[in-house]
Amino acid sequence: MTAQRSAQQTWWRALLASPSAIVATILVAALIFLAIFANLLWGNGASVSNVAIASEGPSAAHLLGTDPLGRDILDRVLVATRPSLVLAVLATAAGGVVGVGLGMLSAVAGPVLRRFLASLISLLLSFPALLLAIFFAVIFGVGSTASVLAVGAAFAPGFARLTQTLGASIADREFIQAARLLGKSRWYVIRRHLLPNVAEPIVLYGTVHVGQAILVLSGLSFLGLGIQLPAYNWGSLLEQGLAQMFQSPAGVIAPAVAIAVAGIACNLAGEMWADIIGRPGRAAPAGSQRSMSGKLGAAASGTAGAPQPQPDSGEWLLRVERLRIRFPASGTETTPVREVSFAVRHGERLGIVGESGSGKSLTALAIAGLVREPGRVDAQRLEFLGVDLLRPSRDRTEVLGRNLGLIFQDPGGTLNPAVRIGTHLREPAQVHLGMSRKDATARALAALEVVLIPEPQRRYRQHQHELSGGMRQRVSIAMGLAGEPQLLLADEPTTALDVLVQRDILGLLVRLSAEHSTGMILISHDLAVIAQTCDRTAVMYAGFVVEDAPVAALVGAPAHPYTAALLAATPDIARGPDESLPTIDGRVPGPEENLPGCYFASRCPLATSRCREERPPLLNLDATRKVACWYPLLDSGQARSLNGAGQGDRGARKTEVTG
Amino acid sequence: MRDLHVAGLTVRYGHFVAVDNVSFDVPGGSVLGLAGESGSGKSTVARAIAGLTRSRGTVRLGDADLRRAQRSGGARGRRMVQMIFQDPTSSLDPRFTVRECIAEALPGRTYTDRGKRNERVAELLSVVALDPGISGLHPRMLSGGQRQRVAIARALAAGPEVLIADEATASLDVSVQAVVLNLLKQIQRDMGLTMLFITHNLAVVRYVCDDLAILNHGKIAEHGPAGQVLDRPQDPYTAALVGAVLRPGSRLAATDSAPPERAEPADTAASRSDGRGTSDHLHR
Repeated sequence: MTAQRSAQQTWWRALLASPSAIVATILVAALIFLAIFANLLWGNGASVSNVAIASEGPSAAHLLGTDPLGRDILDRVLVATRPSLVLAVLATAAGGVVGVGLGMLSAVAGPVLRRFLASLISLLLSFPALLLAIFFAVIFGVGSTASVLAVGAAFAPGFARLTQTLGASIADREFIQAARLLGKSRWYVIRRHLLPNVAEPIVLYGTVHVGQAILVLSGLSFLGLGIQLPAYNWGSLLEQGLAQMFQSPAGVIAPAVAIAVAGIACNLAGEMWADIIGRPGRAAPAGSQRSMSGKLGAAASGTAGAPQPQPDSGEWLLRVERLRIRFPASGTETTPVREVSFAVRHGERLGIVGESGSGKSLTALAIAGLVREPGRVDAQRLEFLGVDLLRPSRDRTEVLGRNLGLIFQDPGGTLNPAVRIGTHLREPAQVHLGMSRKDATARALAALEVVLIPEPQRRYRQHQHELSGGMRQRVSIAMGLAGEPQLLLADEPTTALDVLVQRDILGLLVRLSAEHSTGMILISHDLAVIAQTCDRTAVMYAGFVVEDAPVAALVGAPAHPYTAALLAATPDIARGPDESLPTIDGRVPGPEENLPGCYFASRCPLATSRCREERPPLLNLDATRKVACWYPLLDSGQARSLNGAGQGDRGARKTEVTG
Repeated sequence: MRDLHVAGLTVRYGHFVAVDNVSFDVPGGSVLGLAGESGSGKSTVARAIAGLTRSRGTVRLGDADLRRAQRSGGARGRRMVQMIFQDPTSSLDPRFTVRECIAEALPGRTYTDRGKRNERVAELLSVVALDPGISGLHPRMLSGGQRQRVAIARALAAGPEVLIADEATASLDVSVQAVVLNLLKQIQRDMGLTMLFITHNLAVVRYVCDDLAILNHGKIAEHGPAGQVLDRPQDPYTAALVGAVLRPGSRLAATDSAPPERAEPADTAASRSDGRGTSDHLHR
């Protein structure tokens, strides 16, 4: 609850900090005040005619002068706020109710009705609102009720289209299907699930459209189709003022300014709404990760065009020491990567395994120099081919561009859907290597052959949607290889693929790395994938590398209790039917938490007070293995007994649950 | 405990046959695993049995025609089959609290007053090993594993006889997956539910399933006791699929990189059957 309240407070603070929000609030408050009290305060001056002072210019008594009947123009403009605003809100509401109803109906309708409604909405949308309003005004006749109905009818298609689109995206969601499984009625689904989830954007759309409605209603009144005398709104004032435009310009300018100000107020208020709605804590926008991989893909395609790899810089290809990545925030700073150290030799394949939140993908981004603002990367050392990656330099740009190949989980996001497969591979060679089109084409075809794509000639001319997931991943590997890189950085390259395809892609990566003695970092949540392909594995937990060992040693005799637990929890196709999987109790500390000791201590069966108070550094266990633990498991038997203990715990919980 | 009986189940999307004359029985209180690659039709089978997709064929629960019950029996007919979906983020309404998510599924006639409903919600939360104190929270405040447990509690709240878990652990971390798998198995046993466990991951099958059916291109390639299908697959496709499952202990050699000629048929076929490859087909 306190968290909620403080979140609200930050909204208000953010609103006050934004000038447009302050202006919007003041304008909307002023409009509401005028709508309620203007008639009371200035109604007299606005309605009582006095021919003696007809058509006078501005004076102290009448700031904007008087109209031909001697009424105060300013008073009339202020008093006209209520009819203008009320009619606009009514018109928008009418349009909203009809439109949202139609849109909802189409979201839950059967295919035939849906197609009919969609065509109808599209047809109506192709006419401008003012034109539609004039058309409906002819049908409904003249007068305020008629003009409200006309504007409502003109606005309905827009609301309907918005609702239809939003509704369709929600109707696909599984909670709607779950409701159908419960036998809930269509009306229930609309009322309880669809409407609440589309309400915010629709209210926002409505707020902005009140401004539009003021404009259209004024237009109708100006044309004589709207509100009728003796009632008046800004539009009819404008029309009356037009006759005397050259004698008393204020008669035209004042209502015009009022219309403009009201329109601006509605638009700003809409923006303010959107701002409040869009604050964090709400559902995160889908596809943010995709856009990231898309960006990376773009970077990957830029790696082409390295004439020759750089000369060796000693034993190490990549050295990462005490890497830390922070995201400063207004309240709490988060540190998703706390202390990561590892190194990759030339031609070595290192696996990085970890669960979500372990910081493994961010580590990869940091190596590629792609951590987005406001993320801050610091490290004791971050060197690739002897070049410091922490400071921008020409060397850094060059080694990252030439010698690093990137491969990502979603090959669809890496490839531009509008561009042919071949172009993705050909253009970088033309641009970066200055090759002729013919040479570049030959090079691209050769790249497709390297990744074992059958019929490369035909695939070369195709688009990404014509390729299977496995094929797309092969193409993105070909792109990653374009610069003959010394290090391939593959982040969950097979997670989106089926097992048979996964095996082939992993096999391909291993073969390419072995043939060209290319180093590789393979990042995965799946220990089995890494065990298949890598020489060495670094295990990450809560932003730390907790163990770093040759794969066989790590799988055979894990030294860190977390590694042992992760291994035990990994399902194995060969394990028996009556075993339940050992689990890890508790949860991973979040990136905002700051603990003095080991981050696994709260879940570790071996933890002592020392673990909670003092953080174990990543130290050599023997010549090839490193572990960050005060009490490393020394043989496989110890790991097994640890998991046995875990199973005992679960047995205990089981009885508790059933009882 | 009534047996689930499926015969001649066929689902078409236009000209494309997603599920082709599939028949199987699930003995009451047992778990059938349905496994296959993407596009094999395994999720479509689930949706057809749940009545979410139009299909032809027979689906019976004991002697009762399940599809007629779903069509005409209103909420009661619907409740007999409940599903747990892959993505717990989109299977829970973000506007609902945990309590509302679960209470929505309770039969309104039995749980008329609020107190009774809340009591039952708390009970169900403890069945899925969640603290009843979280019932006022919104799904976004929960972790993925917690959300999936809420989804399980919602399915149980409807009082189903058949539970369908459609890739229920596919989007979870390894350690969370273990918790949810154990929980599903334990609930299924304790409540005597008949369960369909749909997965692309053969490694998890043996922990949960009694029997296993492998789907390929909308047809059942092999069906038998889980241990038998995994250890001694008779069908060549099943054998290839089982052989491709990675194990932490084993290792892929550099020479193992399969020439695509061998694996590609399955690859392109899978993509074609889920619709992605159709244009490929047309372009030929």
